[in-house]
Amino acid sequence: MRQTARYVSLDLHKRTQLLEVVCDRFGISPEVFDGYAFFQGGRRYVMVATVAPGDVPVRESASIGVPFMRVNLPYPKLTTGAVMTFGSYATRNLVDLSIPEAREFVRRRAVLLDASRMARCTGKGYVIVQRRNVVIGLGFVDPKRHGAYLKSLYPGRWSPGP
Amino acid sequence: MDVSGAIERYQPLVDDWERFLAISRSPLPTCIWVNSTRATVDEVTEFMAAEGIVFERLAWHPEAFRLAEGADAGSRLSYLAGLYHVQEEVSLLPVVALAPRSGDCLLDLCAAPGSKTVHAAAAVGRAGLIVSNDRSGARLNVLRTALHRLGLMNVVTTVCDAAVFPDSARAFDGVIADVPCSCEGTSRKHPAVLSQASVARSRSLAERQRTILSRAIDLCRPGGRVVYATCTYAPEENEQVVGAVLAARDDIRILPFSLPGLLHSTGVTSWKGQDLHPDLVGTMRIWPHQNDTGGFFVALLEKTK
Repeated sequence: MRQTARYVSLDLHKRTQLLEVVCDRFGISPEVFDGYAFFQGGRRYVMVATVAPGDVPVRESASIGVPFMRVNLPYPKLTTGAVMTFGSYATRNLVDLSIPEAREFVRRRAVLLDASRMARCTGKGYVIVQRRNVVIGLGFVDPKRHGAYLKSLYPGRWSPGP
Repeated sequence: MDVSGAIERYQPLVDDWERFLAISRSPLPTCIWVNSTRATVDEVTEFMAAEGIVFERLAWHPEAFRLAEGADAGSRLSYLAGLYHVQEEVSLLPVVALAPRSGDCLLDLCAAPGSKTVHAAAAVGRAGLIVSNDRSGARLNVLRTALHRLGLMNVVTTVCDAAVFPDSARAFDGVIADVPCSCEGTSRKHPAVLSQASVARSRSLAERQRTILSRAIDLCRPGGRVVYATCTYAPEENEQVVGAVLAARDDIRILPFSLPGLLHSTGVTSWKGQDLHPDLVGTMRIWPHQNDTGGFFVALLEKTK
């Protein structure tokens, strides 16, 4: 069997720090993440799974869980998959799009937000994007530089194209 | 398009040969199943309808739907939001047959590209775990993308030859052995298979299929279940493989099963002058014209000790 992954579980301090960033920005209760294991494999991502690396029933594994957060950025960013899983628990920095806007968003085009939706954002930073209470991804707002435009951070390789 | 002798030899097994040939050359309908870890079936169907997706529920699966032609299933917001997964209808059968429970630990022994792993991961939920194995690590990348999009965080992948998958720390509650096969039942996606099917190829695959099935049984706990599945029609790869393993072991039995709303044929118990194990009548053959799907074979086994 070929092993290609070595994961290091985050200690309690690092786990708490990581989740505080998410909980503070999006108003998610920390209990939402109870029962999940967070671990790092490589420089770019913290992974999340329902089982810790030390508890998998096989001696060698190629991967465990899915990417949770990209950490080698000036502002660590939740992955789109993580946002779609946990974003429904957000209570701030959360905007709802119309169907045409959502279609633009998944095609990685910016969306102009009205004042009421901008008011749900607490300033420059990541914003969870949803359509009718279904989370579809992560965006970014920077009112000073981009006004009321929501920048799409939808992954290029997932985008359905023009 | 010509049909090879390897396909023509199935004519005695098929009730409506002309209809079988006609359907086998036509495109497959699009099938999706609801990711109930993210939303309820009602919530998802409401979201789909709001997007203008036209669908009808499958008769035999309460959480799966057939989409109208031209639905462009992979570009819809519902798909991108991980509310459903696109999967060929017959390939839902292994996990449905296995009937996993919340919290089960399952092994998908020949997993790539991974739809059955995804289906099983949703079925066992957060309390369960799937070990998803394939000899090709690269082919498992498609699986990882699907797991990420659907928010399924209960899967461990391994890269290993299924025939020699090592013993694990615990025996599995269930094992899926969807083995490499001659894929005769995939003609609706790959029409050339109808003219290129070969008996010699089927016979050449059988030994490895027997080895993989036997290993799957080794890795299953007593009282657990193993599903053996192929997407081919050849008895050499289906009933004869299962029958050979049954004859060689005293710790498994076939569990007959049926699914209301799904038309099927029973497994053959005689082929080319050879009598096969009588219990093979409890296996399941799906011909494309029976439900407007691809072709498939499923045997559900229970490990008795």
